[in-house]
Amino acid sequence: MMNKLLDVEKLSYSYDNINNVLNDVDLTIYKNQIISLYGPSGSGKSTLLFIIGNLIKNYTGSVKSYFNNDFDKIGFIFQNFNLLKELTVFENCKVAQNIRGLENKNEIIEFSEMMGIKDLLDRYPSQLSTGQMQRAAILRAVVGGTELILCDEPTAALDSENKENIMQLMQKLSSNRTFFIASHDEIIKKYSETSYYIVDGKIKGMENDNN
Amino acid sequence: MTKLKNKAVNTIVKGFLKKSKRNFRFAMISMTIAVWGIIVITSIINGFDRILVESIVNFFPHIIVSGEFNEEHNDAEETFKFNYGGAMLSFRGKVEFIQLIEFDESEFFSNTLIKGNFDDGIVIGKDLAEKLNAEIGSTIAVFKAKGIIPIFRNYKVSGIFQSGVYSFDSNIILFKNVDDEKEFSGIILKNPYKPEIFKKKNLKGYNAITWKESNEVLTQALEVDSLIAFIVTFFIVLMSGFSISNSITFSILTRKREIGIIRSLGLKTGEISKIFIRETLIISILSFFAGFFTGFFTVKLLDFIKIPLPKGIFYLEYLPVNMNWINVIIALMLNISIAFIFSLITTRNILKFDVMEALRDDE
Repeated sequence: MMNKLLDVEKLSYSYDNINNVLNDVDLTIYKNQIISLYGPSGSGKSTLLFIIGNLIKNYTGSVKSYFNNDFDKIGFIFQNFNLLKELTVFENCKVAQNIRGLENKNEIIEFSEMMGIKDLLDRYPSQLSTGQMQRAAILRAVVGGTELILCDEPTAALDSENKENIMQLMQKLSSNRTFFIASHDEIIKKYSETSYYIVDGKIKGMENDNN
Repeated sequence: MTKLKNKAVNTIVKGFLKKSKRNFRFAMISMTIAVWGIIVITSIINGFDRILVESIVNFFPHIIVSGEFNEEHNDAEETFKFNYGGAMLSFRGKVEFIQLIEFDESEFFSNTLIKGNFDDGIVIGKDLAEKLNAEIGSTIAVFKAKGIIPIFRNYKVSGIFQSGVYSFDSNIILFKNVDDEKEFSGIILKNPYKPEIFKKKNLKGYNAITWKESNEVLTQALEVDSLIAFIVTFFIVLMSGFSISNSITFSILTRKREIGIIRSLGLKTGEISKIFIRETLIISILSFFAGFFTGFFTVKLLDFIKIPLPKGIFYLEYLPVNMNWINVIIALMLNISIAFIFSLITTRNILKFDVMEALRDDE
């Protein structure tokens, strides 16, 4: 039986109190899966991600988490990587780890070895290639015992080789955490256990490997 | 905020300071100049005040008791008897109204003696000597009243004194006179700056007046000076506070994306404001010390090169400077408080923006 990680029920949100970006969204996120969220631009994918990640409030409906420490164990991966350019890769990870209530240098080193960026830990983001930056962003998202990683178009800035590599890495990492990926990219579907399809702020369909 | 979150904030502050120095360059320069200005201005005000107070306490008894006072106290350096009163002098056709101090055996006035001695005649002030064109060996006629009887006597000038206060040096004659009866007792204290304490403790049954009471206008002027020094300090620091506020606003507006990233990592707005507050406090403390050292060396330089003052306006020959550590500490406290308050208000007001937009914007 699959364990629930998060329940979204009757979620609606509007930026201007006139037009709803999200309309009565219901979905469930299970532990240790890759879940994708497809939809055209402006369909509300990113907004849903930001609400689940506790960066947007003032919504109606509910987001119920089943993991410890509520929202402290959520990581983000963005299309434009969003690494802190003033800090090295190691410092970016250390800050994320500390905010999530952990300090463990070995965890950073072990994950960086697994991702093949151990030698880049002392570099600043400006000294990395796009592929390396996305790996560094994933590293920062997974350290500190995160249980849910929210990804906003994580492969959009990558070439096809890097896309495959990144998705294989996420697949490997999903044995212990869930990736919830908002994207246009068809490649992600290949790696997802569950895929939601969203149009105009409404979930229009769901595909599940187990079905 | 947990200890680890605090550590994360410190790591971010360190990174921001290392990589974004230019954001705070102007605030740092303006604060450094502010502190530099405060130290130099207050040192000059203090310099004038100190010279004035020292000139008085080095020349006048710290407490004057009407009649006899023969008690010995640990706080008192010495006690001597003296007379003090108005007189008129005449020398080579010039007439001046002066104050005559006749005193018993005492070493108190010796510090002001610049020429001659007290043993062979009267000692006149340097400016009185210049006014009269008198010198050691000159004979001056002095008229004074004893009751209603006028007394006239010729005195030989045996010395010249200089107290540093023009009104003393141009109006007073000192005369060591062990023969005549004295009306007053002068008390010289080990700490002349708090004569009221000694008076309250030991002179309850006496008719006594402290140097502060007899120079009430001057002591009030000194209090006004201190107030002016404080107001100058406050406004200069306030100005630099606005400069800091501008720098933080600029810094936040140019780092919206970074703030969004930090929010996405899990820090709340209140915790993020600590990053900017700490950054500001570090900048203000660094600026304070830069300004302090610049000010300190300027004060030392002014003391060394001795800038001359116009004699008709100021009695003092050179610009007096005296750095007061209390003012330095007040400036530091004000500096830190203003930096803290301004950064708190600024960050609380402008940290509210659309995080999603900041995170999705391409650089």
